Amino acid sequence: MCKIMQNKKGAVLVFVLLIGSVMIVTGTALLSTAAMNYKMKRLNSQVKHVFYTCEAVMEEAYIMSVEYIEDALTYARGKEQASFEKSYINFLKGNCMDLPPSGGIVGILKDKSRYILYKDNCYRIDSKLLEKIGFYQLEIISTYSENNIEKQLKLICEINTPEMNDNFPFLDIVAEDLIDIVDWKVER
Amino acid sequence: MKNVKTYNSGFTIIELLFALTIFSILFIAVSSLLMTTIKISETSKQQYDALILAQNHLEMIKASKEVLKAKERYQYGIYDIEVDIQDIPEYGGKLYKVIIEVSAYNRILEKIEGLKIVEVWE
Repeated sequence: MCKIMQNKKGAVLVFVLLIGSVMIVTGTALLSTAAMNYKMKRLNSQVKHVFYTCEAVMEEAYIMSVEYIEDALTYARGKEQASFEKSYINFLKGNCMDLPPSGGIVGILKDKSRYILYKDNCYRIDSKLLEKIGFYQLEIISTYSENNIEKQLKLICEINTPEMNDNFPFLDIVAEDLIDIVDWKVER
Repeated sequence: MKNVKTYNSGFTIIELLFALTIFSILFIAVSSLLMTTIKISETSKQQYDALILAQNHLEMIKASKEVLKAKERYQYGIYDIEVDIQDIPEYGGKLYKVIIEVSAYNRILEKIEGLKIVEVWE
């Protein structure tokens, strides 16, 4: 037993192999950590990309809503003062008798062909117009997905009607005065 | 005893040479592994820096009150930042398209697109 312990033949080789395996294990661990880190950074970049695109779609939808309210104001100004509010709301809802059915603000927002900047199939837009006391609540949900990453943003805004004590035909009122952003949040 | 010594003579040097050869091979392999690791880490850092720079520029433009339709270039360390602000005539000056491109050593690292709403009514 003592002789075996004293026999040091091959000890250097064993030592080298031991050191070598430690180096290889450490190197592989470092490489895999670096590769994982790189993957995470790429994923982070893709997530941000998806988020900004989703936000851009939402912003385009918001500007389309503002323009639609402007159209509703123009339409209602052409009517009598007594029917101004009704005409304005009917235009928003798409219930005007003298115009072809358009689906109103909700129909316009859901129609992808009306979007100028984002026409691909990677995004979905959903919108709702809810009647509240004294105002209408417009909800726009923008969902964008790319490379299995999905982001959803929700915009809630209030659409008001011009105060009737203002001077008809309310030429000093613009659409932006009638729309207020209540909430703008990331859903997931 | 003398016979045993004679038998063992020269063994250590052969063993050492053999071990050195194996060690060199392992060292070359591990060095290339480490070089790749360093390269990946550097690329990863550049990617992250580029994203942060692009995001900062986009957020700065989004937060600003006014925008100018222009194509500008900035230099930040090794990074070249190109900011392209395009007008969208269909929306009558209310909406601008912002494209931020960050590159380093003639390689595009990050490209972010966003929109900027200009509050013309304020």
